[in-house]
Amino acid sequence: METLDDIIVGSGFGGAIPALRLARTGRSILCLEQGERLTEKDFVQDWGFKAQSRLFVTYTSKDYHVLLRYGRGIGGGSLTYAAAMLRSPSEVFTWRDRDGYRVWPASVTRQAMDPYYAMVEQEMDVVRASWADVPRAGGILAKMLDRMGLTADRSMYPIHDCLQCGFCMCGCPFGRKKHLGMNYIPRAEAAGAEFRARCRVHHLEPDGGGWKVAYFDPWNVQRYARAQRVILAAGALETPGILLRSRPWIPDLHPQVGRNLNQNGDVAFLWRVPDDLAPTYPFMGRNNAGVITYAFWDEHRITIHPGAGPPALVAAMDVFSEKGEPAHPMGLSFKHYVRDHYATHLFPSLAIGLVDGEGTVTVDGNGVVQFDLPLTDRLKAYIDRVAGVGRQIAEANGAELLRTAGDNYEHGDAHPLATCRIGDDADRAPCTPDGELRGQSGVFVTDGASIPGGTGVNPAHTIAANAERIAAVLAGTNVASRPSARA
Amino acid sequence: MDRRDFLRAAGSGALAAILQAVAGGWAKAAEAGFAGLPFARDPLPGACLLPLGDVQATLAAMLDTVVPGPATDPEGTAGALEACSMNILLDGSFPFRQYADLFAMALDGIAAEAHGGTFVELAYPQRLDVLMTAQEQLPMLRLAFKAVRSAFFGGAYNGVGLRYVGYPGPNLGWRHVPEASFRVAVCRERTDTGWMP
Ligand SMILES: Cc1cc2nc3c(=O)[nH]c(=O)nc-3n(C[C@H](O)[C@H](O)[C@H](O)COP(=O)(O)OP(=O)(O)OC[C@H]3O[C@@H](n4cnc5c(N)ncnc54)[C@H](O)[C@@H]3O)c2cc1C
Ligand code: SF4
Repeated sequence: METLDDIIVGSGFGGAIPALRLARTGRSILCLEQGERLTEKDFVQDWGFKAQSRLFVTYTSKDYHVLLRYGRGIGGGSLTYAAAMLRSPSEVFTWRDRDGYRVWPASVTRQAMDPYYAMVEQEMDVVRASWADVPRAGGILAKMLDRMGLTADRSMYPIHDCLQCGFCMCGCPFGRKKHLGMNYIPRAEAAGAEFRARCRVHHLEPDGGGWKVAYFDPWNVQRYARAQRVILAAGALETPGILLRSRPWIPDLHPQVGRNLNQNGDVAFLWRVPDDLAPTYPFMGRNNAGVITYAFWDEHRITIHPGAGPPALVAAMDVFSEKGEPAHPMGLSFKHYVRDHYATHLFPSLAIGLVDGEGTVTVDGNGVVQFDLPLTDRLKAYIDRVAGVGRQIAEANGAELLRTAGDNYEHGDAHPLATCRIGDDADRAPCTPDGELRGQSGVFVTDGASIPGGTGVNPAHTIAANAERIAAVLAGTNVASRPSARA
Repeated sequence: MDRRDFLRAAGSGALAAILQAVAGGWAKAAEAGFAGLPFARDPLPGACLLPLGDVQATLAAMLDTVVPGPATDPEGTAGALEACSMNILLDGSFPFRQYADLFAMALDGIAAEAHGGTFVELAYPQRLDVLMTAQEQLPMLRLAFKAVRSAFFGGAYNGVGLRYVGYPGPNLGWRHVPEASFRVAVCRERTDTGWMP
């Protein structure tokens, strides 16, 4: 059986970063990734099912209300994300949930994270958008806020010399978006790490002092590889999935694995702008449309960023107008409404905010991941707060907020977190502050699953910085000397 | 259980199964290493599958209600059927077909009770009404309608929906187009760095 020092599962932010740091210490590293190795040549400007299903894995909640998806391939979500890379505000790290529990470990503050954020920014070459880089849709939201005497800040991206084609979420075909396959991954490979594509990990088994990783190779043959340590970075849906599938071999798995699913407080909605702000041209420019507003952070712990995107992004939303047309998202009036407004008067936005994670990831009898994201009273109250903020902006600008109503609100589909969270409390958090799975010495979690709660902004930068932070511990620490994991 | 409850339950179970199957299809595609994608090949214009038989006629009427085509839209422009949304329902490699009967039965049940006819017999406003009622009773129907809308407006199978809304599609970048950005500061910023302390 193949034997390594460390096996990493998944090659997104949580996987590629430890791969580099650990390979540089001279350890033998194998990263198993279910997706393909994709480069600019493979990215096509195509929003069709076939192209999209190559790039993303999509899940539907058990009650069919919510879709969640993640990008796959060597580089994980970085290949197809919209590339906003923002540090989380300090208050994120001191956030307390409904029980008064401080979800982030006391030792992990914004100040403690700053050096790791800086490392990511340096490796990925993250820069601030210029005003010329801000697509028109982003500029329109900024103008609306300016008219209210509020602020909007240009965002940060690992994007250089952007052509503003509007296809970031299909993978940048022009190589302007610096995904992990252009920085961390080749650097890790140069340091000796191996990234193996189309290898899907099924479960883990304890093996002496180390771990066996059971996976399916590209020909669907089940194989094992063995390592002293395993680093799980398959994303917030699949990391708990792998652990839950491992239960027959790990009967004492921490009971909170798969709990606390948090979708980062994402609420998606549309704006219809008045003529004096038209046209919106939402197809022009980077998909994360250049700005974010912190104007509602102090009072509501909500940020809002505008998007630019294809008609499907707009028309798939289950929105209706509180003022009349369209009364519902189907039929003739909706069809005509989208045609008459998409290119000139509409653009989408995403609110992100702090709210308790009350969802659950499980696996069914076949080991397939399932999730639940119930619309709890707390979540409902939070959504109403978001809608209130949105309405306030719309009314001040003669614009209209198009949103969903009642129990059927539009979640964003892109930011699942916290299903295997780090934390100080051994009962509430499956992982120690350093990412080690409690009770399972040598198993670490470094991806979005380990992030204990909402990040207040788009999460990739915090996932990346947290992976740097844990990798720094791993790079200098011997598993055998880590009694904390045995707690 | 009365007829209405039965239809509700049948509809609910069928849709649950359909959507499960769809999600399962995606998962299978992932595992098959992309070789066996469950989606239809991109058809040439005009290659959309046509409804044959009663059940398919009901499904076609449903599609034509969610995004109406020339049969219903007085402007005569393309709709879900012309965007090949029927392919999703009838493609043998796409696991929907087996639930089509139950789905059609649920729509017919609501149609009969509310308007005294089968779903296909109803005029467009009544069909819309049936779909609204159906999705209130079976909230997961919203997801199915969302898929139909995004197939049309997203150009999942062909470009008729994209052309309809005037989406220009693939391009070499808009950065030199004057309208693409305001290019100057249009708002005061709160931070010097782009992120909060
Ligand atoms: C459309 C879209 C746009 C987004 N835009 C932004 C943005 O602008 N800014 C931002 O901050 N965030 C954005 N995100 C979110 C961001 O992409 C994720 O938060 C981030 O990628 C998560 O990192 P991760 O390391 O947890 O997992 P991922 O990056 O998802 O990586 C997990 C990897 O593990 C692989 N994997 C999964 N299961 C297995 C298995 N069983 N065996 C082997 N490999 C496996 C997957 O294929 C994947 O490559 C976006 C997400 C989407 C979907
Ligand atoms: S908008 Fe810019 S970063 Fe996005 S795909 Fe186009 S060129 Fe690449």
